Amino acid sequence: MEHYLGALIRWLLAPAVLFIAAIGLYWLFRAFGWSKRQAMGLAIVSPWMIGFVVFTAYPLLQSLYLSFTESNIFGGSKWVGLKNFNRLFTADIEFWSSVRITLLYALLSTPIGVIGALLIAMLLNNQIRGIGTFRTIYFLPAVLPEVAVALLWRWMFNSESGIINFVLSPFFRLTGSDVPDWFGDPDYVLPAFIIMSVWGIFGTNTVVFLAGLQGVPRSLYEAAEIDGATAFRKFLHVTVPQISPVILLQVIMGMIGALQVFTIAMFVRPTSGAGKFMNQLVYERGFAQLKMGEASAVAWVLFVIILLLTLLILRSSPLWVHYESEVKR
Amino acid sequence: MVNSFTGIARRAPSVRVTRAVSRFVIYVVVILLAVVVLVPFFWMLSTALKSEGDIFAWPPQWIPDPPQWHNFIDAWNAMPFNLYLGNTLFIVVLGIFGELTSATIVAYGFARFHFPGRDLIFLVLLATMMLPFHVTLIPTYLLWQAFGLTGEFDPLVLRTWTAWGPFYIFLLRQFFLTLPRELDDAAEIDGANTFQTFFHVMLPQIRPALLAVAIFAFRGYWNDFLGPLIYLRDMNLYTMNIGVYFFMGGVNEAPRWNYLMAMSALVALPVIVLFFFAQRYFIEGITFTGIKE
Amino acid sequence: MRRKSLLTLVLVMLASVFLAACGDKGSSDGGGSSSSGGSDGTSASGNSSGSSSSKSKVTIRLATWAGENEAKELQQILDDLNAKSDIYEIVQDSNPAEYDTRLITQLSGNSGPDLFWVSAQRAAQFAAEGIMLDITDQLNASSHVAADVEDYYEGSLMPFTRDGRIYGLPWLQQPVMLYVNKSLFDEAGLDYPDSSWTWDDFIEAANRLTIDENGNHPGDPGFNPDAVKQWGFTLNGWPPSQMFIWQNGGEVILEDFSESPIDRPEAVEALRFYSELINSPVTPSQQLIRDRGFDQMFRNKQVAMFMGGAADDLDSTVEHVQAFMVPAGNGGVKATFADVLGMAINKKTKEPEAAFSALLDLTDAIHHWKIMPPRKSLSDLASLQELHPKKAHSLEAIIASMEFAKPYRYFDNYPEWDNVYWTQLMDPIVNGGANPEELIPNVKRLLDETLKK
Repeated sequence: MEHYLGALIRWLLAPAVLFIAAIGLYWLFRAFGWSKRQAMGLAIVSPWMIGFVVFTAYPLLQSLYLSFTESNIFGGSKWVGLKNFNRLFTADIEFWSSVRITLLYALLSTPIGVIGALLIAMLLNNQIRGIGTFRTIYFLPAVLPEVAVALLWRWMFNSESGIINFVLSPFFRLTGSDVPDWFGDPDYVLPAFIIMSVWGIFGTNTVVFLAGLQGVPRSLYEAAEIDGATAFRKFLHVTVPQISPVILLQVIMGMIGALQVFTIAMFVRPTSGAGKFMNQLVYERGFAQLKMGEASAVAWVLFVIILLLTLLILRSSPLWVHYESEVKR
Repeated sequence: MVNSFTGIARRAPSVRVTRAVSRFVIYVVVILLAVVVLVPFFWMLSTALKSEGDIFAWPPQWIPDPPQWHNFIDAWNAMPFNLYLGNTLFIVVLGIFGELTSATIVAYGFARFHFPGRDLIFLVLLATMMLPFHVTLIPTYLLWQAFGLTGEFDPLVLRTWTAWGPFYIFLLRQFFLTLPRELDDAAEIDGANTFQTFFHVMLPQIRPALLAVAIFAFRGYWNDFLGPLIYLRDMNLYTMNIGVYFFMGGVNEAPRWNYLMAMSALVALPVIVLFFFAQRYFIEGITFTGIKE
Repeated sequence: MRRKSLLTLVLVMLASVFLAACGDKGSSDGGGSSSSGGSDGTSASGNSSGSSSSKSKVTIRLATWAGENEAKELQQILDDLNAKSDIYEIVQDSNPAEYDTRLITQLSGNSGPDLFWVSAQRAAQFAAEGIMLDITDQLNASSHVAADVEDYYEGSLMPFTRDGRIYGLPWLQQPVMLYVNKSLFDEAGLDYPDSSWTWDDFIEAANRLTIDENGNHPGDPGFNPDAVKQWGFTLNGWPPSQMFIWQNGGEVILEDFSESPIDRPEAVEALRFYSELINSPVTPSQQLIRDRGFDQMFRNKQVAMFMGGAADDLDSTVEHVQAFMVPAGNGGVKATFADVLGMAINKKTKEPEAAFSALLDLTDAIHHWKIMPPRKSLSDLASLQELHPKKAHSLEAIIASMEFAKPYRYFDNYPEWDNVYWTQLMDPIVNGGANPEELIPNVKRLLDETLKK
């Protein structure tokens, strides 16, 4: 009982403490000469900042430190400088194939995911009968626990009774080749994962776009219609710009998620001939081989990759993302 | 898309036919895709309703004969799922409330206020999603241990007040940014302060997004697995997902597929039901009080 | 007006903060990281930091990977032990999911479990890292049945030993056995395997047990490898190739850990044998195995012979199945892989004496629960048959197999060695149809490197 009560009490206290801290920060920064609005902004954001410093920054920096050490989690860590990174880049047999498959997977699956989710959301944004039920059905993939999803995929790729091969068999019969050994043939592992990523179109991604589409003002569409716009032009010139902030969100989130794929890979256990995903490498080095230093090094390489790609996308965003609120600036 | 149908009555009959055809096409596509999505679930249910011996019968049966409906009850009773349900609800309720409140407020701050370092901090927020979690697992655990809170629910619910889910902040921020400045200005002219602007003007506008976040947060906490697994060490405090894992078998024990699927289906049910009822707010459209309409 | 109510609100909150904080401090200390902080009543009286008076029992936390049934059976054993003991109260903390991640994370701090189940591989790793308590002296001083080090099979203690010190106790050693579907043997008119079986006998039987839809065997004219409906054997990386190398008189890691002699003729021959088996029509394709389930195919009578652990339930859940010794190499060398599982004490435990006492009692109890106990004194056929009636028919062969069963030669960097062995050698052979001889030189080089670390 004391577990529940204790957690509840501390949970009730936390916002009070944060609120007080926010007020404190407000006055502090006002004292520094910030304007009312600036200080208010900081105060509003402060709960996250406090949480970040305590719960994220410390573990983050710790893992960075570990990447420069040889550490076995339980004992001490020995500083080795760039040795881990050096080894990864030059002498590690698994590293580069891992980078390759991780990047390829992300670059291929993200656009498919974003475009697919948008299309489905547009489909669901209609007033046809029973649309509510259909929307729920389309959300189902997001609802299952990871275990069940991974098992379902194993079954779906079954070469004898699986639905994937059932759907694709006409194509294979045309080219005269056999049904592929999806997880056993290194050439087919990446396609298999990309197919699995299609599943991610349904679920949360569609819902986010749906919410975005709902927010597009009717008046804009009507104005476009008066100008004689076709459905396609309406899409291109009204819908897309209006929801472009949401598209940006999905592209970034999709990419970050794709680069960190882990659970499905661990469950499905494809042949390692195709390379392992980088997050798998992190887990193996850290928890299977107890080499936290190496694991952290791989993790930080992945981190930098993700960061660079995200920055790239963000830098390009002023070209195509349209924020209503920034119009006047 | 909703909007394009308002003009039907005013159009010529030939256009009406085109509209009807496109509706039909939409119907067909929606149904087709729905079938694709449902197939795995059907298989899941089918497995859940099979008896031990039939699960891997060859050739595979689609419809179990006879369906073992009692599997659902048996699976529930096999482990103390009542307890697990209570624990999960405890975490979920506390989690969603904290998360939603703090994430919305913080997102508002990032969207509407300019302060020195804002963009950098936002980038840092994004960056927190980019580090593979396995390397921060142990440092985070040690941190909680320093507070003396490992083995408690706190690592799972306390952080929510600090808007710990960067995805939610990001999402809400983007939605706030789709709202035009005129709204803020109009509110200011009406003499509203920050809090009032926030509560009465901004929030209602992004209700679809709020709802989406609420559903995602519910799903996130409901399905959260690794967190409870690592921080809870009393079997009486386990959550439902951990409970489902008990059916995964062991070193010499095969998994109990039917119970596994049955419980997975049951665990998924609340989120499905929640979504079904919540998504009505997506359709019906929200009465916009601001400039948008 | 507004400011006043805001101020009041803040003051009220501050007050409640102080009030709750004082009460909160008490409960967070009591429910915090001491090992006696279980949720059961015996120690929740705030008696923190493990002060075990002779009146109250110490709570010992046991982490296991037990799933549903195993956890329930274990709980019965624990209830029994707890009732009999004055010293300890063992509380179970089990789940099959992510056991390693969970265990390692919890052990990294000082709030980990007192006792934990550990596989042989992990035991060797943990012993090297110093996480497990050195119990050599306590074992020597104890007269408990389970503390008699001489009674244990040497192979089972190996993973728990380092530099002559012992860090844990095994509670199971299961040799790999040859499970045979006797009715399929009868149909083919074959004699069951016996202790004289070698690879040649094995292959011959596998051939006779592989039947295509027209009733042809491999080698018969008109045999169609794409239309096989029953296979003699199945393998997919399991059983481990190391076993075959041992049976051929070779080694994968030398006793002094200086090299991995997989380039010696005995090993090369064995790997070639393995590779031929993979590609032979007597075993199903990897794709088929993935589709229909590896052990499922044996259960569905599509495969006649299967190599599995002695504790598997194949011979107790499938009709007419019995476990026999695995065939010896053609040179007559008998060897089989032994999977060893055990239990150890967390070095950081706050209750070492109680934990040790619990360790001994529980280990002994598990020896009477699972197949096979790694103790010679318990390897009596009659008593084992009484304990495990469902596997009574296989027990004789199982006991005999214990003589030549051994685990891998674990060492600190074994997981990396194993990773190389699988990804660079076995995975290509099994999934890619690669030729072992081409791979061996490079793999040996890599393996030797991992040995040196």
